[in-house]
Amino acid sequence: MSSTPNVLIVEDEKLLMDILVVEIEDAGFNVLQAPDYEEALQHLGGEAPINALITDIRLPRWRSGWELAEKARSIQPDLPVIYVSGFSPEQPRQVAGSLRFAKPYQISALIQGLRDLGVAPGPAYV
Amino acid sequence: MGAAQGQAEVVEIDGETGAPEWGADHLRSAVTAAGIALWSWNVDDNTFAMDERGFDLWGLTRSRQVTFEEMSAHIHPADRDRVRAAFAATRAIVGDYEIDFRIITNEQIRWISARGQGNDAGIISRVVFGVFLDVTGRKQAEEANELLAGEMSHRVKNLLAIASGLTEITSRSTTTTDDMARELTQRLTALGRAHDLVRPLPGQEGKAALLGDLLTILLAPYDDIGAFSGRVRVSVPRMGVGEAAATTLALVVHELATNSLKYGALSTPTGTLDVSCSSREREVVVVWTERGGPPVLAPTGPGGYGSRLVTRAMSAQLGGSIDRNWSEQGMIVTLRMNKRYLAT
Repeated sequence: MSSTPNVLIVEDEKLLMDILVVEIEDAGFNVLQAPDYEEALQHLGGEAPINALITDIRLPRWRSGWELAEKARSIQPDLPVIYVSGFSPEQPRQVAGSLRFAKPYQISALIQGLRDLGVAPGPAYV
Repeated sequence: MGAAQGQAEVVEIDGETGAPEWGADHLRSAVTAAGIALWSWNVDDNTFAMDERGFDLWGLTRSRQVTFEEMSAHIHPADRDRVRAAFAATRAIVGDYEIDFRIITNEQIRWISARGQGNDAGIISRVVFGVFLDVTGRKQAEEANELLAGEMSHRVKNLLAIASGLTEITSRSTTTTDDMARELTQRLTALGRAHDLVRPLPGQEGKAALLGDLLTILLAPYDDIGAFSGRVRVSVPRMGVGEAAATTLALVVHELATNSLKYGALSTPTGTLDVSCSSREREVVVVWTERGGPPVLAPTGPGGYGSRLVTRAMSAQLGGSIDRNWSEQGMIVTLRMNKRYLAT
């Protein structure tokens, strides 16, 4: 059982993704990254367990973080989810128990959000 | 005065007012030229009569009249209830009204604007009159503008998020507020300079900057420091760098230059920096050679946030790597970038 949680981040802004990865890995998490809905689904169906999902709302090719989180929850019903939103023309539809941060956000607040959802690195992490 | 068959009447001028007196033919010509379809609506039995253009616009078989329900079948399902309610409400509206909605004809969506005068103005024998206009072009332009505005908003929020992230990273690698302000400003300025250089590609999708321009502009501030200008030399072949890659390179060059300014060749008045580049089949290799600076030692530990951000960005965004050679004469950095990634 790994003590380093895998966090799947879905963000198409490349530099922002780099900054997120450096900070979140520094906080003790392992980051899997996807620039779009399709790659995110590949991770969700992959071998590495996903312990949390952080997704932008507005995704390439008219996809949304709303539908990605719903799809992820259909695969892992208890998956902790954090949304980050800049702009979305759709009405919000958060999955139960999720958190939402508006851009620009403090990455430290995002990391605290993971902890608040019960996702934290540690020797006994499940 | 009548007109010969097929010929429009000459416009008569009222002798007293000087105003033109438009005849039926004049009005018909104007309506045709404007692409207006005429309709009449019996408010009691909800039947419509239209002119030829109206039937063509709605994709309906020409007949003496059609019911509102027959027309409703062509209204976009998402607009149907709204249009029904809007037409009913026009009878209580004083003044002109305009109802825009979508219809579906031959599997294509068109936008129609129905216009008339409310409050049963001009009603004759329970029939009111109005026009339909095809406003598909205008609506598509409005939708395109909305999409663009949404994209711009998303982009601005992402840029603010990047600035916020860089602020957090910079705060961890500096010890005074002056240092933090200077480093953060320089990082953001480097990104801004890269953005300035990115231009639309003629005849192609996307934007690009020239690698040589990018390096020269980013290193220009460091060339002015010290006893000799011209100590920063850039020699690279002419090649384009895509918008995303330019942003990443700006960050990388800024970090290398800042470190050189603090600890390397650019920290001494006579130190020099040579940046050269070679293009291979699948990769571009940029070599950053510092000479004449203080003796350098390889650092221990994983490196600061800036260094880690650079290493990550080189791998993730440019499909390559960064290798540092801490020779006695000065640091040599080799940047390898995948050509395909460099073009994005």
